[in-house]
Amino acid sequence: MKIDISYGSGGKQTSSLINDIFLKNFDNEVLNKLEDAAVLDVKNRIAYTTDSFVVTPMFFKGGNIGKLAICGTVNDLSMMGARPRYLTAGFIIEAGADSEMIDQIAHTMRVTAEEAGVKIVAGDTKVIEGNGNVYINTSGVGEILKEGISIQNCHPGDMILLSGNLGEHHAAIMSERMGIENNIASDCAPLFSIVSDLLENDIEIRCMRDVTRGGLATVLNEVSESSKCRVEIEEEALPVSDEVKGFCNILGLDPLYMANEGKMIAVIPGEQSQKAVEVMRKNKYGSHATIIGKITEGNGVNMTTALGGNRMIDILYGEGLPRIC
Amino acid sequence: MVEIITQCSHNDFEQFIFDLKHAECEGCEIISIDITDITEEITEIFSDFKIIESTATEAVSIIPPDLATCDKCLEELYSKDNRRYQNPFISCMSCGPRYTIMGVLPYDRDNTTMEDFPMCKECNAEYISPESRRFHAQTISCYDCGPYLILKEYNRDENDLLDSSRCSNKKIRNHPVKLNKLYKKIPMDRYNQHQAHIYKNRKRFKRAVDIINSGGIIAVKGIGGYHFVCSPFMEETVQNLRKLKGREEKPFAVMFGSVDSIREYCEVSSQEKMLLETKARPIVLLYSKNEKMAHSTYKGSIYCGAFLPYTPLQTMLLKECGPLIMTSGNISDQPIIREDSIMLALDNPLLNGVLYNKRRIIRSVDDSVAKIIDDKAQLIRRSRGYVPYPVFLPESNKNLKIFAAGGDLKAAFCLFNRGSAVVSQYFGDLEESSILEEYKKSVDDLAGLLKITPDLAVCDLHPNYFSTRFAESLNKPVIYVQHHHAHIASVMAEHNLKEKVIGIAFDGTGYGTDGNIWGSEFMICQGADFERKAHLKYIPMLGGDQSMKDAKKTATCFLAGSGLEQYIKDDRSAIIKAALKNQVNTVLTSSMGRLFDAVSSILGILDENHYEGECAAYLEKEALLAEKGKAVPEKMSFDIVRNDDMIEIDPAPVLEALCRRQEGRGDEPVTSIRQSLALGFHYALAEVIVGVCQILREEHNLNSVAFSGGVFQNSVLTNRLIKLLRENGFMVYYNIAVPPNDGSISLGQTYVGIMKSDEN
Ligand SMILES: [Fe+3]
Ligand SMILES: [Mg+2]
Ligand SMILES: [Zn+2]
Ligand SMILES: [Zn+2]
Repeated sequence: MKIDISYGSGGKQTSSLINDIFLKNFDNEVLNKLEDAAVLDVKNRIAYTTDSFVVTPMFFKGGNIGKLAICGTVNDLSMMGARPRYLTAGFIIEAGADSEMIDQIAHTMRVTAEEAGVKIVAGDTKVIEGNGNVYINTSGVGEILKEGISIQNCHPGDMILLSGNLGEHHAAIMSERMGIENNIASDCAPLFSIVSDLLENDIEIRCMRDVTRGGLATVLNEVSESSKCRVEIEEEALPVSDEVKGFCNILGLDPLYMANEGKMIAVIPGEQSQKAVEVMRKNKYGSHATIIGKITEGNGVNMTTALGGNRMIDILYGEGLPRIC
Repeated sequence: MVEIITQCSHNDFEQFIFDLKHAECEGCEIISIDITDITEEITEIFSDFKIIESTATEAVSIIPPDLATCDKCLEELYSKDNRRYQNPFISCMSCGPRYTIMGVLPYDRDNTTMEDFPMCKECNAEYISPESRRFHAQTISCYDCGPYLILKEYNRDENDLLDSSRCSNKKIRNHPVKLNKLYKKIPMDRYNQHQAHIYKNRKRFKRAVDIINSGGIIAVKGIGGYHFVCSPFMEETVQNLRKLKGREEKPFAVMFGSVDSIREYCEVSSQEKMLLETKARPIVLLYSKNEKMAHSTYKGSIYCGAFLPYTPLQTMLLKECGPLIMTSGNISDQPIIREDSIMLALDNPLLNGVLYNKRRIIRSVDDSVAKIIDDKAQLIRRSRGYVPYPVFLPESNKNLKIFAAGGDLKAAFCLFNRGSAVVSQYFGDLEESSILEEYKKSVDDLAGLLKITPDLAVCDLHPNYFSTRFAESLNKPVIYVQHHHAHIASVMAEHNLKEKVIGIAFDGTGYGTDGNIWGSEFMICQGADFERKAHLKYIPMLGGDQSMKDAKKTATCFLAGSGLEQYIKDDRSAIIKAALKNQVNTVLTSSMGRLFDAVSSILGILDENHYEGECAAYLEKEALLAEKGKAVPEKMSFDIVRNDDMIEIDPAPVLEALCRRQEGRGDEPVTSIRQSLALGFHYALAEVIVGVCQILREEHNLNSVAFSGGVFQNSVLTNRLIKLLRENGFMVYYNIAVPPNDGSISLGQTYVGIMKSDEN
């Protein structure tokens, strides 16, 4: 069934959309009360964040926009050392969208939320003119488990861990857009379990960041700038699957700048870094975890290349612009 | 600057000026003679000609470049009774290092790294005697003052070195061992220190010679840094050298003892001979007429980078070893090593020794590279021997001091003050952090030497250039100059072109004012302004530096963009076409360099650039062989398409001709058809350039053509183009003093900076 503009009227069709899709899928005691606002029990200090999700195509190998919407917010909370607890979800639906597709998105959100241990406790739906696209905003609160995890916190001597292969989400989305058949799937995943594994094993965490838009290069530049330190990584240590590597080679893409949706870096004091890698590797979302570099005195992000050269890694100013003459 | 006061008759004065202008004066160069009448100011009568201490002045400083050993010093080097007999540091007022050993101006001994070697009595006597060839020769030295040769030998298993009997060169095969036992039997304590120094120097030198002659590789400290040195005849040794340098693919430069020695391997014209023998001693690209050297030395290139020795040590080594590979002592894309500690720390198992001395090098300066085009010398890399000699430009109205950042590849910056533009040494690709560091330090260094505090920074328009970011970080007003405009402006600067010109800039890639990737631009230029009038038709290509090196992918993009999909031979074509169709990481480009890459791949010559311009160089090789063999160039031509006010050159008919002809060649041998196709492509390109110039001439009433850009390093294209343009009555200008490649960018930027500020 196609959604048309009447589903946004606030009347009967709107409530059928809410009941038949969102309440059915998200189903939990807080949401089901349908109050004007959700009333929540939270013990510790909270972390609170929001993010909006726009992706073409909405379905791709390894997930869909719904999974992204849950993981994105859950991961942002997790990176602050918080246990994600509650999410809100706002939908902007363009006329022409298929209700079964929305149902499928909502179902994925439910499954992902369960895995991540969060509840969707409030929501909103609007229908606008358009071509059948769906946009989702999620915001979320989490309970702080560990205070003081901050991007300003990195010190010389710390090691930088990356939880797995680079570039997979970006490559999967591009493959879909181009209609190319391959085995590259988005790495979209909730990362709280890695964080809780690290905390349970008494790993001291200086800082964590999920590697999303702008890629690893952007995250590392944020670390360097916020902590006023130098970041040194090794090109040969960067994990990239052979298939993604080949894909990037053909398209002229650099995995350093490509988005992931289920990868994080953790900055860990040198003496605990080896143990932290082992903990990460035991988690199903961290099986390719590895140390990619270290924090030193200075500024900027430097990469030692496979040939033994050194290159400053800046954030990207214009995609794909060749520099060579 | 030298001030001479004359007190004489008018006739004598005229004669003096005439003699001055025509004097053969070694170690100096007369840029201009200013005559001022000071009769009123000076009452004192002078009776003798005295040279007085130099003082630091406000005037524009000219820093001397490094000079090759002069003939007189060479004579002394081999005179048995001379006290500097076989002293590898012999030099005089007319020769020796300058820029590379100088701390600050003025150029006096105390301001150079020679300050570490106090002069002995005899040297000092020469230094203060106006009759001596070494009067005020700051680099004066001898066996008593030093510096001395030091050899750090790595005790590698001697079996690792090549068995010299395997060497094909007879001269070398017969050499080893016999020369180094001369002094050994003499007990050292019977000699005073002087003789001990002579003994040690010679012993170390002979040992180095032995290592080279038995197939080893040594690092030898030179003027602007270290060289890696080995025999060009031993395949395994040269392969080891490539491994030592980090899998480098470029042909190696070879140093020869004399022009006659070069002639055994290369064609040398009279202009080329003169260029080889200039005091700057550049590496000269010569047509190599045989493959007598190991294949790995040139890697199949038709050009041999040949040069003559410019230090006494090199002269001595060549005498003992014959021709030698002398390649800059650096690892892959890193800066040339100048510090002993760094070279000694390298300790790579492929390196058998380090032959050095304790004269510090202050600045790393690579060897310069030049060639003859149109009977004139043209620089390809402007560094040792030329830097920091200025290029003279018109003065700015505002007494403005300018820093121009240059480009990112083949980086060189420029500092401008009062009509003198000093283009720095060549740095390489700024993407490498250590190169970028060296570049930044050198900006401070040279600005300090020249006493220039820039008021204005000029840089490229490319948002991702490291040089652009650096210019922006200086907190000065910044002027952005489009890359290809800078190329053309560099020619206008060199030739002081005031009239409107048709500028042609062909190169790899540059960032355009429309956000696309430009690379074959026709612009009408005057002063600070340009108007883009024509370019190669935009082709959608995949982005990123890596893509630009992949000639096969480039060919696929060109064929797809020209409606010639049936000729695509690339197993990645499905994904490439999908990316182009969906505009995933694509750029629009008018790059001429990429067209050369595409043609190289289509003709089956080379599919990948391991270094800048490699595919184009091997395509040029095929065309040159065709020319030399008097082959008939295949006929083909580009389309000229009018698009509103823009002229577009469409390569589709040329690409189709290449593909179709090659596939339908029947029984013809591949090589001959390939050569005539390559030549046909070069000629067709020259013709279409002239065609576009004719249109612009008619529409805008212009007659001067200024061309620049890396593509014009191609001699087949450039010779043909110059010929056709002249036949059609055009005035032709191109780079001479700075390279046509991105080595010219900073000069062009400076010129636009001057013109822009004078406009306001
Ligand atoms: Fe260029
Ligand atoms: Mg986010
Ligand atoms: Zn001399
Ligand atoms: Zn002396």
